[in-house]
Amino acid sequence: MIELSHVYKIYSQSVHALSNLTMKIARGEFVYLTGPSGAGKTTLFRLITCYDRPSSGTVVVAGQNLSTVTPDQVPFVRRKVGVVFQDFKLLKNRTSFENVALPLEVLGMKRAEITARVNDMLDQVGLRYKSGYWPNQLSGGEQQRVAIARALVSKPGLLIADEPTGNLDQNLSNEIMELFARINAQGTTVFVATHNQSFISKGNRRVIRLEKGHIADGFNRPAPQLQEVAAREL
Amino acid sequence: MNELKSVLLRSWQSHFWTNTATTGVLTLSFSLILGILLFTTNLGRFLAVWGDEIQITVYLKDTVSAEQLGAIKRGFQSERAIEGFQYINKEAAQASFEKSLSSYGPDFLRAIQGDNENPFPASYLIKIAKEKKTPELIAGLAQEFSKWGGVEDVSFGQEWLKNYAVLLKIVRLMAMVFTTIILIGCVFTVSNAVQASLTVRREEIEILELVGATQKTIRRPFIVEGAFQGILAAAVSLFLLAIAYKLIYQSLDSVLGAATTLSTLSFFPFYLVVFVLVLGAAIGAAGSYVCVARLNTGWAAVHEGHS
Repeated sequence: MIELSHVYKIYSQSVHALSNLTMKIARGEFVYLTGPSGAGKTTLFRLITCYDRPSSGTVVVAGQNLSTVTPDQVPFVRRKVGVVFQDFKLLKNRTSFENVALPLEVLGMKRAEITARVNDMLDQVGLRYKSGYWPNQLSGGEQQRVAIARALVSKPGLLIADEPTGNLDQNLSNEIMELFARINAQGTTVFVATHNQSFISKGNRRVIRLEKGHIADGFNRPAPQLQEVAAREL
Repeated sequence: MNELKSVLLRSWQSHFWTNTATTGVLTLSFSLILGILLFTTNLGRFLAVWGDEIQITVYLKDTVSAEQLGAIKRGFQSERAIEGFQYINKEAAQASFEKSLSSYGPDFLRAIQGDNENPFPASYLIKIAKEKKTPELIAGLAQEFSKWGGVEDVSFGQEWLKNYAVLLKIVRLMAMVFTTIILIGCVFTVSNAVQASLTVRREEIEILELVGATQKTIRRPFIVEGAFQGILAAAVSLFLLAIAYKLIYQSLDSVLGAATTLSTLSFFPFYLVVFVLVLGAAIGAAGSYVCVARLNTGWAAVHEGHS
Protein backbone atom coordinates (compact mmCIF):
# COMPACT_ATOMS: atom_id res chain seq x y z
CA MET A 1 0.00 0.00 0.00
CA ILE A 2 2.87 2.37 0.87
CA GLU A 3 6.41 1.94 -0.43
CA LEU A 4 9.30 4.36 0.06
CA SER A 5 12.64 3.78 -1.55
CA HIS A 6 15.78 5.79 -0.65
CA VAL A 7 13.71 8.88 0.08
CA TYR A 8 15.40 12.14 1.03
CA LYS A 9 13.66 15.34 1.97
CA ILE A 10 16.00 18.27 2.32
CA TYR A 11 14.55 21.69 3.22
CA SER A 12 17.91 23.42 3.18
CA GLN A 13 21.56 22.41 3.25
CA SER A 14 21.41 21.96 7.02
CA VAL A 15 17.88 20.53 7.42
CA HIS A 16 17.59 16.93 6.29
CA ALA A 17 14.03 16.06 7.37
CA LEU A 18 14.24 12.57 5.89
CA SER A 19 17.43 10.79 4.98
CA ASN A 20 17.62 7.63 2.84
CA LEU A 21 14.28 6.32 4.10
CA THR A 22 13.21 2.93 2.78
CA MET A 23 10.11 1.18 4.09
CA LYS A 24 7.04 -0.79 3.01
CA ILE A 25 3.56 -1.10 4.50
CA ALA A 26 1.43 -3.89 3.09
CA ARG A 27 -2.31 -3.67 2.35
CA GLY A 28 -4.39 -4.27 5.50
CA GLU A 29 -1.56 -3.54 7.99
CA PHE A 30 -1.95 -1.40 11.12
CA VAL A 31 1.27 0.50 11.76
CA TYR A 32 2.25 3.03 14.42
CA LEU A 33 4.76 5.74 13.51
CA THR A 34 6.61 7.19 16.46
CA GLY A 35 9.69 9.21 17.30
CA PRO A 36 10.66 12.49 18.95
CA SER A 37 9.55 15.87 17.66
CA GLY A 38 11.54 16.84 14.57
CA ALA A 39 12.23 13.20 13.66
CA GLY A 40 10.41 13.56 10.32
CA LYS A 41 6.98 12.01 11.06
CA THR A 42 4.94 14.89 9.68
CA THR A 43 7.28 15.23 6.72
CA LEU A 44 6.74 11.55 5.94
CA PHE A 45 2.96 12.00 6.10
CA ARG A 46 3.16 15.11 3.92
CA LEU A 47 4.96 13.07 1.27
CA ILE A 48 2.43 10.24 1.44
CA THR A 49 -0.53 12.64 1.18
CA CYS A 50 0.95 14.68 -1.68
CA TYR A 51 1.46 17.79 0.43
CA ASP A 52 5.11 17.76 -0.55
CA ARG A 53 7.52 16.08 -2.97
CA PRO A 54 10.63 14.13 -1.98
CA SER A 55 13.99 15.73 -2.79
CA SER A 56 15.01 12.34 -4.18
CA GLY A 57 13.86 8.72 -4.08
CA THR A 58 10.43 7.28 -4.83
CA VAL A 59 7.17 7.26 -2.86
CA VAL A 60 4.50 4.85 -4.10
CA VAL A 61 1.01 4.98 -2.55
CA ALA A 62 -1.80 2.66 -3.71
CA GLY A 63 0.22 1.84 -6.80
CA GLN A 64 0.81 5.47 -7.77
CA ASN A 65 4.35 6.83 -7.93
CA LEU A 66 4.00 10.23 -6.23
CA SER A 67 7.35 11.46 -7.51
CA THR A 68 5.89 11.74 -11.00
CA VAL A 69 2.44 13.01 -10.08
CA THR A 70 1.41 16.33 -11.71
CA PRO A 71 -0.52 19.02 -9.78
CA ASP A 72 -3.66 18.13 -11.73
CA GLN A 73 -3.42 14.50 -10.57
CA VAL A 74 -2.90 15.36 -6.88
CA PRO A 75 -6.64 15.55 -5.96
CA PHE A 76 -7.20 12.10 -7.44
CA VAL A 77 -4.31 10.64 -5.41
CA ARG A 78 -5.68 12.24 -2.24
CA ARG A 79 -9.06 10.59 -2.81
CA LYS A 80 -7.33 7.23 -2.28
CA VAL A 81 -6.05 8.31 1.16
CA GLY A 82 -8.12 9.31 4.18
CA VAL A 83 -6.31 11.75 6.47
CA VAL A 84 -6.98 12.58 10.13
CA PHE A 85 -5.19 15.40 11.97
CA GLN A 86 -4.64 16.21 15.62
CA ASP A 87 -6.68 19.43 15.25
CA PHE A 88 -9.58 17.67 13.45
CA LYS A 89 -9.74 20.23 10.58
CA LEU A 90 -13.52 20.36 10.41
CA LEU A 91 -15.30 23.13 8.53
CA LYS A 92 -16.90 25.26 11.22
CA ASN A 93 -19.73 26.45 9.00
CA ARG A 94 -20.90 22.91 8.22
CA THR A 95 -22.73 20.41 10.41
CA SER A 96 -21.31 16.97 11.24
CA PHE A 97 -23.34 15.52 8.38
CA GLU A 98 -22.13 18.18 5.93
CA ASN A 99 -18.50 17.73 6.99
CA VAL A 100 -18.67 13.99 6.44
CA ALA A 101 -20.48 14.51 3.12
CA LEU A 102 -17.68 16.74 1.77
CA PRO A 103 -15.52 14.03 0.09
CA LEU A 104 -18.61 12.54 -1.56
CA GLU A 105 -19.72 15.95 -2.86
CA VAL A 106 -16.23 16.38 -4.29
CA LEU A 107 -16.67 13.03 -6.06
CA GLY A 108 -19.94 14.35 -7.54
CA MET A 109 -22.19 11.67 -5.99
CA LYS A 110 -25.96 11.95 -6.06
CA ARG A 111 -27.66 13.42 -2.97
CA ALA A 112 -29.53 10.20 -2.05
CA GLU A 113 -26.35 8.14 -2.15
CA ILE A 114 -24.47 10.76 -0.13
CA THR A 115 -27.19 10.72 2.55
CA ALA A 116 -27.13 6.93 2.81
CA ARG A 117 -23.34 6.67 3.01
CA VAL A 118 -22.91 9.55 5.45
CA ASN A 119 -25.60 8.18 7.77
CA ASP A 120 -23.97 4.75 7.63
CA MET A 121 -20.55 6.25 8.42
CA LEU A 122 -21.93 8.34 11.30
CA ASP A 123 -23.51 5.15 12.63
CA GLN A 124 -20.12 3.43 12.56
CA VAL A 125 -18.51 6.20 14.61
CA GLY A 126 -21.57 6.37 16.91
CA LEU A 127 -22.56 9.94 16.05
CA ARG A 128 -25.65 9.55 13.87
CA TYR A 129 -27.73 11.30 16.54
CA LYS A 130 -25.46 14.34 16.30
CA SER A 131 -25.48 14.68 12.52
CA GLY A 132 -27.09 18.13 12.67
CA TYR A 133 -24.62 19.50 15.24
CA TRP A 134 -22.03 22.13 14.39
CA PRO A 135 -18.37 21.34 15.26
CA ASN A 136 -18.39 23.82 18.16
CA GLN A 137 -21.30 21.89 19.69
CA LEU A 138 -19.24 18.67 19.81
CA SER A 139 -16.60 17.50 22.30
CA GLY A 140 -13.00 16.93 21.15
CA GLY A 141 -13.52 13.17 20.89
CA GLU A 142 -16.71 13.66 18.92
CA GLN A 143 -15.04 16.10 16.56
CA GLN A 144 -12.24 13.59 15.96
CA ARG A 145 -14.79 10.84 15.25
CA VAL A 146 -16.48 13.14 12.71
CA ALA A 147 -13.06 13.76 11.13
CA ILE A 148 -12.45 9.98 11.00
CA ALA A 149 -15.88 9.47 9.42
CA ARG A 150 -15.01 12.10 6.81
CA ALA A 151 -11.68 10.40 6.12
CA LEU A 152 -13.34 7.02 5.59
CA VAL A 153 -16.68 7.84 3.95
CA SER A 154 -15.25 7.55 0.44
CA LYS A 155 -13.72 4.14 1.32
CA PRO A 156 -10.13 5.16 0.60
CA GLY A 157 -8.31 1.91 1.48
CA LEU A 158 -5.60 3.79 3.42
CA LEU A 159 -6.06 5.87 6.55
CA ILE A 160 -3.28 8.19 7.70
CA ALA A 161 -3.63 9.76 11.14
CA ASP A 162 -1.18 12.38 12.42
CA GLU A 163 -1.34 12.44 16.24
CA PRO A 164 -5.11 11.84 16.21
CA THR A 165 -5.29 11.58 20.00
CA GLY A 166 -2.92 14.47 20.77
CA ASN A 167 -5.76 16.71 21.96
CA LEU A 168 -7.77 14.01 23.74
CA ASP A 169 -7.72 12.42 27.21
CA GLN A 170 -6.77 8.75 27.64
CA ASN A 171 -10.36 7.42 27.59
CA LEU A 172 -11.23 9.26 24.40
CA SER A 173 -7.86 8.24 22.92
CA ASN A 174 -8.66 4.60 23.64
CA GLU A 175 -12.04 5.01 21.92
CA ILE A 176 -10.39 6.46 18.84
CA MET A 177 -7.80 3.65 18.69
CA GLU A 178 -10.54 1.05 19.08
CA LEU A 179 -12.31 2.69 16.18
CA PHE A 180 -9.12 2.48 14.11
CA ALA A 181 -8.79 -1.20 15.03
CA ARG A 182 -12.36 -1.88 13.83
CA ILE A 183 -11.68 -0.01 10.59
CA ASN A 184 -8.48 -1.99 10.11
CA ALA A 185 -10.35 -5.24 10.74
CA GLN A 186 -12.62 -4.32 7.83
CA GLY A 187 -9.56 -4.21 5.52
CA THR A 188 -8.43 -0.58 5.62
CA THR A 189 -4.68 -0.03 5.98
CA VAL A 190 -4.07 2.23 9.00
CA PHE A 191 -0.90 4.28 9.56
CA VAL A 192 -0.97 6.29 12.77
CA ALA A 193 1.64 8.72 14.10
CA THR A 194 1.53 8.91 17.87
CA HIS A 195 3.52 9.83 20.96
CA ASN A 196 1.17 7.85 23.18
CA GLN A 197 3.36 5.11 24.70
CA SER A 198 0.43 3.14 26.03
CA PHE A 199 -0.61 2.13 22.51
CA ILE A 200 2.91 1.38 21.30
CA SER A 201 3.92 -0.57 24.38
CA LYS A 202 1.03 -2.99 23.97
CA GLY A 203 3.23 -4.57 21.33
CA ASN A 204 0.44 -6.02 19.24
CA ARG A 205 1.05 -3.67 16.31
CA ARG A 206 3.98 -2.95 14.06
CA VAL A 207 5.90 0.19 15.09
CA ILE A 208 8.14 2.34 12.90
CA ARG A 209 10.33 4.67 14.91
CA LEU A 210 11.90 7.67 13.22
CA GLU A 211 14.98 9.41 14.61
CA LYS A 212 16.57 12.37 12.83
CA GLY A 213 15.00 11.40 9.53
CA HIS A 214 16.11 7.75 9.72
CA ILE A 215 14.29 4.60 10.82
CA ALA A 216 15.72 3.56 14.18
CA ASP A 217 17.50 0.20 14.23
CA GLY A 218 15.15 -2.73 14.67
CA PHE A 219 12.03 -0.72 13.95
CA ASN A 220 11.24 -1.59 10.37
CA ARG A 221 10.18 -5.18 10.55
CA PRO A 222 6.77 -6.85 10.50
CA ALA A 223 4.93 -6.90 13.83
CA PRO A 224 5.78 -10.36 15.26
CA GLN A 225 9.53 -9.80 15.03
CA LEU A 226 9.18 -6.29 16.31
CA GLN A 227 7.32 -6.98 19.53
CA GLU A 228 10.30 -7.95 21.58
CA VAL A 229 12.47 -5.06 20.32
CA ALA A 230 9.68 -2.57 20.90
CA ALA A 231 9.11 -3.72 24.44
CA ARG A 232 12.82 -3.53 25.23
CA GLU A 233 13.43 -0.12 23.62
CA LEU A 234 10.35 1.62 24.97
CA MET B 1 -29.07 28.30 -9.40
CA ASN B 2 -29.62 26.45 -6.13
CA GLU B 3 -25.89 25.75 -5.85
CA LEU B 4 -25.17 29.44 -6.44
CA LYS B 5 -27.70 30.43 -3.79
CA SER B 6 -26.28 27.97 -1.27
CA VAL B 7 -22.67 29.09 -1.96
CA LEU B 8 -23.59 32.74 -1.37
CA LEU B 9 -25.78 32.04 1.66
CA ARG B 10 -23.16 29.87 3.34
CA SER B 11 -20.44 32.44 2.68
CA TRP B 12 -22.42 35.42 3.99
CA GLN B 13 -23.67 33.49 7.03
CA SER B 14 -20.21 32.36 8.08
CA HIS B 15 -18.12 35.34 7.01
CA PHE B 16 -20.58 38.20 7.32
CA TRP B 17 -18.17 40.82 8.66
CA THR B 18 -15.26 39.87 6.39
CA ASN B 19 -17.54 39.93 3.35
CA THR B 20 -19.12 43.21 4.46
CA ALA B 21 -15.68 44.79 4.88
CA THR B 22 -14.50 43.58 1.45
CA THR B 23 -17.69 44.77 -0.25
CA GLY B 24 -17.44 48.09 1.62
CA VAL B 25 -13.89 48.67 0.36
CA LEU B 26 -14.97 47.78 -3.18
CA THR B 27 -17.97 50.13 -2.93
CA LEU B 28 -15.81 53.00 -1.73
CA SER B 29 -13.27 52.43 -4.50
CA PHE B 30 -15.92 52.18 -7.22
CA SER B 31 -17.69 55.29 -5.87
CA LEU B 32 -14.46 57.33 -6.02
CA ILE B 33 -13.58 56.25 -9.56
CA LEU B 34 -17.13 56.59 -10.91
CA GLY B 35 -17.56 59.91 -9.09
CA ILE B 36 -14.46 61.35 -10.78
CA LEU B 37 -15.62 59.97 -14.14
CA LEU B 38 -19.07 61.53 -13.71
CA PHE B 39 -17.61 64.86 -12.62
CA THR B 40 -15.10 65.14 -15.46
CA THR B 41 -17.62 64.00 -18.08
CA ASN B 42 -20.09 66.65 -16.99
CA LEU B 43 -17.39 69.30 -16.67
CA GLY B 44 -16.36 68.45 -20.24
CA ARG B 45 -19.97 68.88 -21.39
CA PHE B 46 -20.23 72.16 -19.50
CA LEU B 47 -17.09 73.45 -21.20
CA ALA B 48 -18.27 72.14 -24.58
CA VAL B 49 -21.23 74.54 -24.40
CA TRP B 50 -18.77 77.41 -24.22
CA GLY B 51 -16.80 75.83 -27.02
CA ASP B 52 -19.88 75.99 -29.24
CA GLU B 53 -19.62 79.77 -29.21
CA ILE B 54 -16.28 79.62 -31.02
CA GLN B 55 -16.45 80.55 -34.70
CA ILE B 56 -14.08 82.05 -37.30
CA THR B 57 -14.76 85.36 -39.00
CA VAL B 58 -12.97 85.90 -42.31
CA TYR B 59 -12.92 89.63 -43.20
CA LEU B 60 -12.66 90.40 -46.89
CA LYS B 61 -10.82 93.27 -48.60
CA ASP B 62 -13.00 95.96 -50.17
CA THR B 63 -11.18 95.23 -53.41
CA VAL B 64 -11.99 91.50 -53.43
CA SER B 65 -12.82 90.33 -56.97
CA ALA B 66 -15.64 87.98 -57.99
CA GLU B 67 -13.07 85.26 -58.88
CA GLN B 68 -11.43 85.55 -55.45
CA LEU B 69 -14.84 85.40 -53.79
CA GLY B 70 -15.67 82.25 -55.76
CA ALA B 71 -12.32 80.65 -54.82
CA ILE B 72 -12.86 81.46 -51.14
CA LYS B 73 -16.34 79.90 -51.24
CA ARG B 74 -15.00 76.76 -52.94
CA GLY B 75 -12.22 76.59 -50.35
CA PHE B 76 -14.78 76.60 -47.52
CA GLN B 77 -16.88 73.95 -49.24
CA SER B 78 -13.93 71.60 -49.67
CA GLU B 79 -12.86 71.87 -46.00
CA ARG B 80 -14.36 68.92 -44.06
CA ALA B 81 -14.07 70.56 -40.65
CA ILE B 82 -16.42 73.37 -41.74
CA GLU B 83 -20.04 72.64 -40.88
CA GLY B 84 -21.44 75.77 -42.50
CA PHE B 85 -20.59 79.35 -43.51
CA GLN B 86 -22.53 82.55 -43.98
CA TYR B 87 -21.65 85.55 -46.17
CA ILE B 88 -22.26 88.98 -44.63
CA ASN B 89 -21.94 91.90 -47.05
CA LYS B 90 -20.83 95.40 -46.07
CA GLU B 91 -24.39 96.70 -45.72
CA ALA B 92 -25.51 93.82 -43.50
CA ALA B 93 -22.41 94.29 -41.33
CA GLN B 94 -23.19 97.98 -40.92
CA ALA B 95 -26.84 97.29 -40.19
CA SER B 96 -25.90 94.71 -37.56
CA PHE B 97 -23.46 97.13 -35.93
CA GLU B 98 -26.01 99.95 -35.91
CA LYS B 99 -28.60 97.68 -34.38
CA SER B 100 -26.24 96.72 -31.56
CA LEU B 101 -25.11 100.30 -30.99
CA SER B 102 -28.58 101.92 -31.05
CA SER B 103 -29.31 100.98 -27.48
CA TYR B 104 -25.83 101.70 -26.04
CA GLY B 105 -24.65 104.83 -27.92
CA PRO B 106 -27.41 106.55 -29.94
CA ASP B 107 -25.46 109.87 -30.12
CA PHE B 108 -22.36 108.23 -31.45
CA LEU B 109 -24.48 106.29 -33.92
CA ARG B 110 -26.10 109.46 -35.25
CA ALA B 111 -22.64 111.01 -35.65
CA ILE B 112 -21.24 108.19 -37.73
CA GLN B 113 -24.43 107.86 -39.77
CA GLY B 114 -23.62 111.27 -41.15
CA ASP B 115 -20.64 109.85 -43.04
CA ASN B 116 -21.44 108.43 -46.41
CA GLU B 117 -18.66 105.90 -46.40
CA ASN B 118 -19.40 102.40 -44.98
CA PRO B 119 -16.30 101.38 -42.94
CA PHE B 120 -17.46 97.81 -42.29
CA PRO B 121 -15.88 95.03 -44.38
CA ALA B 122 -17.80 92.14 -45.90
CA SER B 123 -17.07 88.85 -44.13
CA TYR B 124 -17.72 85.12 -43.84
CA LEU B 125 -18.86 83.58 -40.56
CA ILE B 126 -17.51 80.02 -40.40
CA LYS B 127 -19.03 77.35 -38.17
CA ILE B 128 -16.71 74.45 -37.33
CA ALA B 129 -18.08 70.91 -36.94
CA LYS B 130 -18.55 70.12 -33.23
CA GLU B 131 -16.55 66.88 -33.22
CA LYS B 132 -13.56 68.58 -34.89
CA LYS B 133 -13.62 71.75 -32.87
CA THR B 134 -10.18 71.74 -31.24
CA PRO B 135 -8.22 74.88 -30.46
CA GLU B 136 -5.32 73.60 -32.60
CA LEU B 137 -7.53 73.01 -35.66
CA ILE B 138 -9.24 76.40 -35.37
CA ALA B 139 -5.89 78.19 -35.16
CA GLY B 140 -4.57 76.20 -38.14
CA LEU B 141 -7.61 76.98 -40.29
CA ALA B 142 -7.46 80.66 -39.40
CA GLN B 143 -3.81 80.82 -40.42
CA GLU B 144 -4.57 79.11 -43.74
CA PHE B 145 -7.54 81.41 -44.55
CA SER B 146 -5.44 84.49 -43.87
CA LYS B 147 -3.17 83.49 -46.78
CA TRP B 148 -5.99 83.35 -49.32
CA GLY B 149 -6.31 86.15 -51.90
CA GLY B 150 -8.93 88.78 -51.08
CA VAL B 151 -8.79 88.09 -47.34
CA GLU B 152 -8.06 91.11 -45.18
CA ASP B 153 -8.01 89.53 -41.73
CA VAL B 154 -9.16 86.46 -39.79
CA SER B 155 -10.57 86.58 -36.27
CA PHE B 156 -11.41 83.64 -34.04
CA GLY B 157 -11.25 84.98 -30.49
CA GLN B 158 -7.57 84.08 -30.18
CA GLU B 159 -7.10 85.03 -26.52
CA TRP B 160 -10.37 83.44 -25.42
CA LEU B 161 -9.61 80.27 -27.32
CA LYS B 162 -6.14 80.09 -25.78
CA ASN B 163 -7.59 80.30 -22.26
CA TYR B 164 -10.28 77.78 -23.09
CA ALA B 165 -7.68 75.34 -24.42
CA VAL B 166 -5.53 75.75 -21.31
CA LEU B 167 -8.57 75.20 -19.08
CA LEU B 168 -9.53 72.04 -20.97
CA LYS B 169 -5.98 70.70 -20.72
CA ILE B 170 -5.82 71.38 -16.96
CA VAL B 171 -9.18 69.69 -16.35
CA ARG B 172 -8.22 66.64 -18.42
CA LEU B 173 -4.79 66.37 -16.80
CA MET B 174 -6.22 66.66 -13.30
CA ALA B 175 -8.86 64.03 -14.06
CA MET B 176 -6.18 61.71 -15.43
CA VAL B 177 -3.84 62.21 -12.46
CA PHE B 178 -6.62 61.81 -9.88
CA THR B 179 -8.06 58.76 -11.61
CA THR B 180 -4.63 57.12 -11.84
CA ILE B 181 -3.81 57.78 -8.17
CA ILE B 182 -7.19 56.56 -6.99
CA LEU B 183 -7.09 53.56 -9.32
CA ILE B 184 -3.69 52.48 -7.96
CA GLY B 185 -4.94 53.01 -4.40
CA CYS B 186 -8.08 51.03 -5.17
CA VAL B 187 -6.15 48.10 -6.68
CA PHE B 188 -3.99 47.89 -3.53
CA THR B 189 -6.91 48.27 -1.15
CA VAL B 190 -9.16 45.83 -2.97
CA SER B 191 -6.40 43.25 -3.33
CA ASN B 192 -5.59 43.54 0.41
CA ALA B 193 -9.25 43.25 1.35
CA VAL B 194 -9.75 40.16 -0.83
CA GLN B 195 -6.46 38.70 0.43
CA ALA B 196 -7.52 39.24 4.03
CA SER B 197 -10.89 37.62 3.44
CA LEU B 198 -9.22 34.61 1.80
CA THR B 199 -6.61 34.26 4.52
CA VAL B 200 -9.49 33.89 6.97
CA ARG B 201 -10.67 31.04 4.76
CA ARG B 202 -7.27 29.44 4.26
CA GLU B 203 -8.27 26.47 6.40
CA GLU B 204 -11.38 25.94 4.30
CA ILE B 205 -9.21 25.69 1.19
CA GLU B 206 -6.83 23.29 2.97
CA ILE B 207 -9.68 21.00 3.98
CA LEU B 208 -11.11 20.98 0.47
CA GLU B 209 -7.64 20.05 -0.84
CA LEU B 210 -7.41 17.37 1.83
CA VAL B 211 -10.56 15.59 0.68
CA GLY B 212 -9.39 15.60 -2.93
CA ALA B 213 -11.29 18.55 -4.40
CA THR B 214 -9.95 19.65 -7.77
CA GLN B 215 -8.73 23.21 -8.30
CA LYS B 216 -11.87 23.97 -10.29
CA THR B 217 -14.13 22.75 -7.46
CA ILE B 218 -12.19 24.74 -4.87
CA ARG B 219 -11.96 27.98 -6.82
CA ARG B 220 -15.48 28.12 -8.29
CA PRO B 221 -17.31 29.20 -5.09
CA PHE B 222 -14.70 31.88 -4.36
CA ILE B 223 -14.98 33.27 -7.88
CA VAL B 224 -18.80 33.28 -7.67
CA GLU B 225 -18.58 35.10 -4.35
CA GLY B 226 -16.05 37.60 -5.74
CA ALA B 227 -18.29 38.33 -8.71
CA PHE B 228 -21.29 38.79 -6.42
CA GLN B 229 -19.39 41.16 -4.14
CA GLY B 230 -18.13 43.11 -7.18
CA ILE B 231 -21.59 43.50 -8.70
CA LEU B 232 -23.08 44.41 -5.32
CA ALA B 233 -20.40 47.05 -4.75
CA ALA B 234 -20.89 48.48 -8.26
CA ALA B 235 -24.67 48.63 -7.78
CA VAL B 236 -24.39 50.36 -4.39
CA SER B 237 -21.82 52.83 -5.82
CA LEU B 238 -24.11 53.70 -8.75
CA PHE B 239 -27.06 54.12 -6.39
CA LEU B 240 -25.11 56.44 -4.06
CA LEU B 241 -23.75 58.43 -7.01
CA ALA B 242 -27.24 58.78 -8.51
CA ILE B 243 -28.48 60.24 -5.22
CA ALA B 244 -25.47 62.57 -4.95
CA TYR B 245 -25.93 63.66 -8.59
CA LYS B 246 -29.61 64.42 -8.05
CA LEU B 247 -28.90 66.47 -4.92
CA ILE B 248 -26.13 68.47 -6.61
CA TYR B 249 -28.27 69.04 -9.71
CA GLN B 250 -31.14 70.33 -7.57
CA SER B 251 -28.93 72.74 -5.70
CA LEU B 252 -27.35 74.00 -8.96
CA ASP B 253 -30.81 74.37 -10.45
CA SER B 254 -31.93 76.57 -7.57
CA VAL B 255 -28.79 78.75 -7.95
CA LEU B 256 -28.51 78.97 -11.76
CA GLY B 257 -32.19 78.71 -12.64
CA ALA B 258 -32.98 77.72 -16.22
CA ALA B 259 -29.44 78.23 -17.47
CA THR B 260 -28.95 76.37 -20.74
CA THR B 261 -25.63 74.90 -19.59
CA LEU B 262 -27.39 72.97 -16.80
CA SER B 263 -29.47 71.02 -19.30
CA THR B 264 -26.28 69.58 -20.77
CA LEU B 265 -25.47 67.74 -17.51
CA SER B 266 -26.54 64.11 -17.21
CA PHE B 267 -25.97 60.90 -15.22
CA PHE B 268 -24.33 57.81 -16.81
CA PRO B 269 -26.30 56.44 -19.77
CA PHE B 270 -27.97 53.02 -19.37
CA TYR B 271 -25.32 51.16 -21.37
CA LEU B 272 -22.59 52.57 -19.10
CA VAL B 273 -24.52 51.52 -15.97
CA VAL B 274 -24.71 47.97 -17.35
CA PHE B 275 -21.02 48.13 -18.27
CA VAL B 276 -20.07 49.25 -14.74
CA LEU B 277 -22.07 46.37 -13.21
CA VAL B 278 -20.41 43.84 -15.53
CA LEU B 279 -17.00 45.39 -14.84
CA GLY B 280 -17.67 45.21 -11.08
CA ALA B 281 -18.48 41.51 -11.35
CA ALA B 282 -15.38 40.93 -13.48
CA ILE B 283 -13.08 42.81 -11.06
CA GLY B 284 -14.51 40.91 -8.07
CA ALA B 285 -14.18 37.55 -9.81
CA ALA B 286 -10.66 38.29 -11.08
CA GLY B 287 -9.51 39.51 -7.64
CA SER B 288 -10.83 36.36 -5.98
CA TYR B 289 -9.32 34.14 -8.66
CA VAL B 290 -5.85 35.66 -8.30
CA CYS B 291 -5.91 35.38 -4.49
CA VAL B 292 -7.39 31.88 -4.26
CA ALA B 293 -4.93 30.65 -6.90
CA ARG B 294 -2.08 31.78 -4.64
CA LEU B 295 -3.43 29.67 -1.75
CA ASN B 296 -4.69 26.69 -3.76
CA THR B 297 -1.50 25.69 -5.54
CA GLY B 298 -2.42 22.12 -6.34
CA TRP B 299 0.18 20.62 -4.03
CA ALA B 300 -0.78 22.09 -0.72
CA ALA B 301 -2.09 25.08 1.12
CA VAL B 302 -0.37 23.85 4.29
CA HIS B 303 3.22 25.00 4.37
CA GLU B 304 3.94 25.47 8.01
CA GLY B 305 6.43 23.36 9.89
CA HIS B 306 7.62 19.80 9.68
CA SER B 307 8.67 17.30 12.30
